[in-house]
Amino acid sequence: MNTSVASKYILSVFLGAMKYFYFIMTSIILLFFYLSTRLPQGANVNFGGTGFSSLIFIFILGLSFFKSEFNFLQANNITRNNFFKGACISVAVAALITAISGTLLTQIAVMLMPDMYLDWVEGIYKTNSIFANISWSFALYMSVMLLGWIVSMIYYRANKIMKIIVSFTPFVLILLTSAADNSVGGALSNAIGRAFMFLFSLNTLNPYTAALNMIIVSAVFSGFAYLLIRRMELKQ
Amino acid sequence: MSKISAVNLTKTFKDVKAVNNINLEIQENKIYGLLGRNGAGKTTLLNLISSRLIADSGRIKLDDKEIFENQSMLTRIFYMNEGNLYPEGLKLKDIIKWTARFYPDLDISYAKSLAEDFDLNLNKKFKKLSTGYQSIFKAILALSSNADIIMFDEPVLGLDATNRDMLYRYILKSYSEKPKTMIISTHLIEEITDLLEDVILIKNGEVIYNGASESLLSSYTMVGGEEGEVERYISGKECIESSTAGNYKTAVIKLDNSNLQTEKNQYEELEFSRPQLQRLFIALTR
Repeated sequence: MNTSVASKYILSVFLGAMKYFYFIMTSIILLFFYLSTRLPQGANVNFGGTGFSSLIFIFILGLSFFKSEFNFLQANNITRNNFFKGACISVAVAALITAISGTLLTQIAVMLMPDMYLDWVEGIYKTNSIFANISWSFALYMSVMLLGWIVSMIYYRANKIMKIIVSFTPFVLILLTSAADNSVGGALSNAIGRAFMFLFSLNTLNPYTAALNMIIVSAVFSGFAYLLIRRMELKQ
Repeated sequence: MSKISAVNLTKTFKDVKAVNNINLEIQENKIYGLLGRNGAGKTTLLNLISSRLIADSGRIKLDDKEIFENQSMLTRIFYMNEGNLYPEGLKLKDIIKWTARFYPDLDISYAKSLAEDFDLNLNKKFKKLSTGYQSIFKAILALSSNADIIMFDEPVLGLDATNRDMLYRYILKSYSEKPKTMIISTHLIEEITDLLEDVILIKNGEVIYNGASESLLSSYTMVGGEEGEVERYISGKECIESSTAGNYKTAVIKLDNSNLQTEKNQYEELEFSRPQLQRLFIALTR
């Protein structure tokens, strides 16, 4: 009961942000469509970016989600366990809505501007299956949103020093990886590349295998999220 | 039954023991005053009871069931927090609507009528409210929640005298119509003295008194008079506080004041009276 209400509340927050995002995305596509009608005959112009924009949006949504929602649910004495379950449901539903909306928006754009609008799933996996597109996008969005949520929770729990460490970690990692890669003659970047190829199933170009891999990654992220939240204290 | 019991409860922030090995029983259907100086551990204790903070050690139970991470127990408690936990962009009517989904017994129409009485526009967003109206709104949610246990942390923060008086009346009305356990943490002790049945005094994270307000007040006596006379009288007695203005001295001593006639007869030059709760609080928590 409380898990369901918690997930509905969190989802209502997500939907509020998604409403504005899709209004902007639709406006941009319509603007592109208008511009495409003004192009001279034979002009070779391509548009795209709905999927990537959705990816950035959902990561930011994950990053900005936690403090306000946790506070409100704590004000209503919701257990951490119910908050976690409610949040996981909301993240999955938000990822699905984003995947469906993004795919539909892309399909409309492709219909309006054939040969001009680029679909990233089709570009990567050479398939125009809507189901494949939605499945792949859903799994990717879910894992990215969970990653954003984890970062947000680490920030919430962290003290000032820890916050600085977390903020600089990506830069330090890039520098260290780059240095380590140089010292092993590029073997590290090759290994990372292979891991990405495997994760996104780029060798077999199978979007369903990639989706499955990302769902496994999401499950691992959810485990981290649970570990973070189970002893989370309210900060004021 | 709505009895809260805390056993060996400890909570530390860095090097500070905010709650230090507290053992406490809070009986059902009583109005408690949770009193202590700034930083004494009142809010920490309330946060521990409501599971918003996690104790380093010890347990808190409601009717012999652990409260921590127990949804059915937590739903029986409504805690009006001093800080702001509500989404600032949400309208008050929407906050009520959501809160009613978490507290199914919340009486929405009563909340609306209270808002009307306090002249609070529910179409406003939470962030648009002044500190006083934020307190009023949170108190309205608490009073209409119909929870078995309601905890108020600084419920009159920022309220003017009229609104404070109204709120005290509504607290009393809510209690008399449907008895419940209420815990009120406040610094305005004089104003709530008449409301309280029991008092929990906290000093440096430890409970120094938990019992009837009446028996606390009757255990001490205030004696006043010429400085030398008072000093002679209190010599050898347990004096917890004294002050002198000119040649006139008052002192609070440990002495049952339920029958002071003998003292009054024996020491006619001295004045004996029952101390006020605030004076006693200052003396005991100094």
